[in-house]
Amino acid sequence: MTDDASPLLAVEGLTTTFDTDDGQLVAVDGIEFTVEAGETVCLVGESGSGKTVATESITRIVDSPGSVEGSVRFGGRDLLSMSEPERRAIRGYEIAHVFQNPQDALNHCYTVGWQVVEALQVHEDVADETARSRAIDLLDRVGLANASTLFDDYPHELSGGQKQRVMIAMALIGDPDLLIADEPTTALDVTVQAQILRLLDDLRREFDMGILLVTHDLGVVAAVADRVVVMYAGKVMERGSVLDVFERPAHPYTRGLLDCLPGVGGTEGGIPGTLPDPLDPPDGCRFAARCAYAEDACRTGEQPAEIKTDPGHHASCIHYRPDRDESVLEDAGREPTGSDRGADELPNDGVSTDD
Amino acid sequence: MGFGTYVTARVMWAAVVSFIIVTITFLLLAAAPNPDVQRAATQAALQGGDPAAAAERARELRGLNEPLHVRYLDYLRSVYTLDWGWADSRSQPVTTALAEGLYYTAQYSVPWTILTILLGPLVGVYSAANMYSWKDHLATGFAFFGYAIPNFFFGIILLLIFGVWLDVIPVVYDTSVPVFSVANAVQLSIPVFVLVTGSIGAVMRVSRNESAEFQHAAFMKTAKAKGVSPLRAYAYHVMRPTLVPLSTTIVGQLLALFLGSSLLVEKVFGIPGLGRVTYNALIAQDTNLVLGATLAFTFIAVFGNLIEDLVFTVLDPRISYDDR
Amino acid sequence: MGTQRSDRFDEVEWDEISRSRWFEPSRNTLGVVLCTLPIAVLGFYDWQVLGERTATFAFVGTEWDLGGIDYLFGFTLVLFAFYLVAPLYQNPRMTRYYWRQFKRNRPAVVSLGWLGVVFVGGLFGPLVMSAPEQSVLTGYQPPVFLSIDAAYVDAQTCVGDVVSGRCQGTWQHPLGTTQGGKDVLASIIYGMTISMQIAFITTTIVAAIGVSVGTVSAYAGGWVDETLMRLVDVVLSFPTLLMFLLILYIYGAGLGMFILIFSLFAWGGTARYVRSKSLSVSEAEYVMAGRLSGANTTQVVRRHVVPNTASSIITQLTLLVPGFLLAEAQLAFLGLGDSEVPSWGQLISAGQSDLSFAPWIVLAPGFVLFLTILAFNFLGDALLDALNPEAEAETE
Repeated sequence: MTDDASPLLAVEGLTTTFDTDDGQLVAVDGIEFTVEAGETVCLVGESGSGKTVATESITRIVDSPGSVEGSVRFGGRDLLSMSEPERRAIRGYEIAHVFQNPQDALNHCYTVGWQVVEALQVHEDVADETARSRAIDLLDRVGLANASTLFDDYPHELSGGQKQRVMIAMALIGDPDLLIADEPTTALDVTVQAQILRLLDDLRREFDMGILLVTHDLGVVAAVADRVVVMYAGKVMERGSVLDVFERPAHPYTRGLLDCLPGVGGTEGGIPGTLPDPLDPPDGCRFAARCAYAEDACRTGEQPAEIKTDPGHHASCIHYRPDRDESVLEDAGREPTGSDRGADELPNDGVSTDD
Repeated sequence: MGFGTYVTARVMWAAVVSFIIVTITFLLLAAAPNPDVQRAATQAALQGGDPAAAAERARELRGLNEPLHVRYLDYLRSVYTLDWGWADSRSQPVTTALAEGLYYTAQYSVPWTILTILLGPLVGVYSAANMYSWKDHLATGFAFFGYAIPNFFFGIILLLIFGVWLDVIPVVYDTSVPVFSVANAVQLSIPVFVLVTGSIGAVMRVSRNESAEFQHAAFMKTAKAKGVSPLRAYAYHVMRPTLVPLSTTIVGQLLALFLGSSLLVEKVFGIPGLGRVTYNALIAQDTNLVLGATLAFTFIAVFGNLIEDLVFTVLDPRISYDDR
Repeated sequence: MGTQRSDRFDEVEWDEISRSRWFEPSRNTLGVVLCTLPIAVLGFYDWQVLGERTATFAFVGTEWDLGGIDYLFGFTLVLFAFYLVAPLYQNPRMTRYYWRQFKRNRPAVVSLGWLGVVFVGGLFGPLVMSAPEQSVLTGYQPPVFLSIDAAYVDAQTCVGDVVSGRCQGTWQHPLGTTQGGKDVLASIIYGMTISMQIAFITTTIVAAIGVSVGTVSAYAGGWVDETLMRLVDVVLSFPTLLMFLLILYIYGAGLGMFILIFSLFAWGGTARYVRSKSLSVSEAEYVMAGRLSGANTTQVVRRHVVPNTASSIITQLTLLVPGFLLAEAQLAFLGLGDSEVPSWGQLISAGQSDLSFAPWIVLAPGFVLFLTILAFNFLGDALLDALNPEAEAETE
């Protein structure tokens, strides 16, 4: 945001709260990031860190008891303050979603073609025949063989990978400027995962759209991302270009994540401990309890403000304050964090905490 | 198996079921002394004749001296060719008597069916969308009331209130008014209300519970993300899958009530419909008409069950025709 | 599965409870046999020695006579006591668990209370109360706190006071009397007996046939399974009320025939459910283990299938009962019921013509019938929630 005057998507102070029987659950707590036109931004973090809620808060499709605050600017308009019908006109047309599990994301009572066409026809007054041929073209484009017969198939007749391709076609039919893909490959077979990711990357170029990709697979991040946003317990820990974050990870949490990657960090696996209770987040840095470098100062007050470590590279860690010596981290950063599991036992999607 | 084959198989099965039930009616009749024969004998005895000879004449007249299998085949032939005999108590053919009854039954059954199909799912889905609000509690309360209150008892009370005290409907159904007239609509409103109350409860409950599940389904989030309005989302994405289990409930409820309670409602409100024809035939000891009415209701039941299965199969694209 | 969460009724290994083998009758079965014997002996004595016209208890000087239905009712009560109530008493921990689950549903608790009243009233009412008798002189007595225009009752025969031309109700007839002077409250209590007899006997027959057909179908497989399931189809699409009317017309039919016909055509759903449950239970690991260690099919059915389907069957039966009660009341109302049986429907039917000036004759039994049906529905709904969350989906 500091680097570009008007990004495609600028999220600032986004806070999503759910009223539960046990109290207020702050799932996303004042996060900030941007997505430029035509680039891929990856949102990474453990399960339960608020990534999904964050993406669903952008177009406000979080489940009903949730309340969303802050500002989400998309092409100069504030998505959160506009009226619901105005926002509805943007959903699926300018900002499209692809969800994690394609098995349940399609309605079992309608043909896949009907559902793709619906995404177009709620926004544009297109004749049925035109819509049909556009949908078939797109189904063909996302790599579905026999698109014209598949158009009339029901979801239960398709495989998981095929369904996810249908979901992608459904997202693209309105020619969106931003595609939000929430772990689009997690529920699929490993062989299909790579195909889908490659498809998304091709389509990004072809349609010149920005992609906000949620994932916990750092291998995926390294392959497709332009920039990375690292989330932990509803807060952004670190964000920057993929090169900066991977080469010079600033936040101890990011380092922990990277250490989980086989062949990158070396010997250790996993970060000891679990996510804090979202109903009762600790004072200070959310990660302090699991951080090898935490000091007393980390455990008081608010989450540390973001500090620019490089141009376009921010971290939320007190060790980067101008008045402190960050070399404490640099030296200690490569020390083992005390796990006895070998890296070769780990799945390649890294974080082994509570997935 | 394709859809056409499935339908053919299901229709044939319905034919088999009707055949089984027709056979049971025959066996019931054949095993019992024919009341007409007994009546002839009694009459002969009263008039000083020979009861045995009179009984024999009556038996011969009705073909009861033939061997059982001949009578059975004859019976089957007349049942399936709609040659259902003469209704003595009404001095007209049985089929005509039944058709006349059906004419009046249809007058309340059609609005009753339409209202149940339209209102039940709507109220149920609305209830689910506003779950645990006072509207939902009100609807649930009404649903329980509806399927717990005996129709005839509810009918009696409403007839007392609207017929006797307020005098807005005639105490006995007036057949002289035209079918499509305000007066007919008014006098049928209370019976229709009673029947709708009875059938809508289960429909509301099932649609509420099923749509409660669907409104939180993942595909609802997809629809929302596509920019579909809440109204359209409910109309298409919640209502449509709800209709699958609901179709069974709707047909089942309507059928159960039609076979069980229409007779009662017609008795209470004095509507000369199919149920009333059956009841009068029982009282007047008109065997042909009793049998004809039983068969008519049986065929309606078999047909209803056929429709229930077919609708369910048509509505659920996931069903494989081989499984049923 | 079986042992991990054993505080769930469905997954309890019932061997731990009854510790019985097939050839060694459990304590409960012994109890059933011991209690059934005197009933059978009394029935035989009634049937063979006394003949039709002598009251059963004439030897102790009362007019109290028992019919076939009463013996059957007694037998089903024994079954319920030993197979439903006794296990609950013998397993206080499980009972407490269920009670906690059940207690959350307040309408269901009230319903259970009401059904308790109907049960106790139906069981002991006739023992402590004399049957309602015709007494033409005291016809149309209004319920207590209400009054009726004295023109309908003879001024001399009004049991209460006549105040400004209106006969006042008295505690002698708390719910008033019918045209023939029968006490409405007593008639309702006698009607409770009929309703309870219908409820208990039909559920026993339906459960017996349904469980047998379901398990046989599941374990025999092949053409036996196919035939039985087609039979279930026929039974399910049978217009029972109409068939009953036909039988009634040809042969005449009393309460016994009513119970028989309606329960013979109501077991379809139960059989279908038990079959599918048996198929899934026999796949379960603990059953496989049992089979490997030599348990035969009968033992598997008795030890695993029946206990594991029990809760769902009970729920289903609870939801069937209101249909039977309603059917009986409907027939009685039409004047086609058993005229010797003082059921609620008979009372409603009797009072219909006097509705405009003596509405209590219809309203009192009508509301009792309504409340009873409502209570069964609430109870069934609560059991559905408390015992088996999947039941709703599987029983259609």
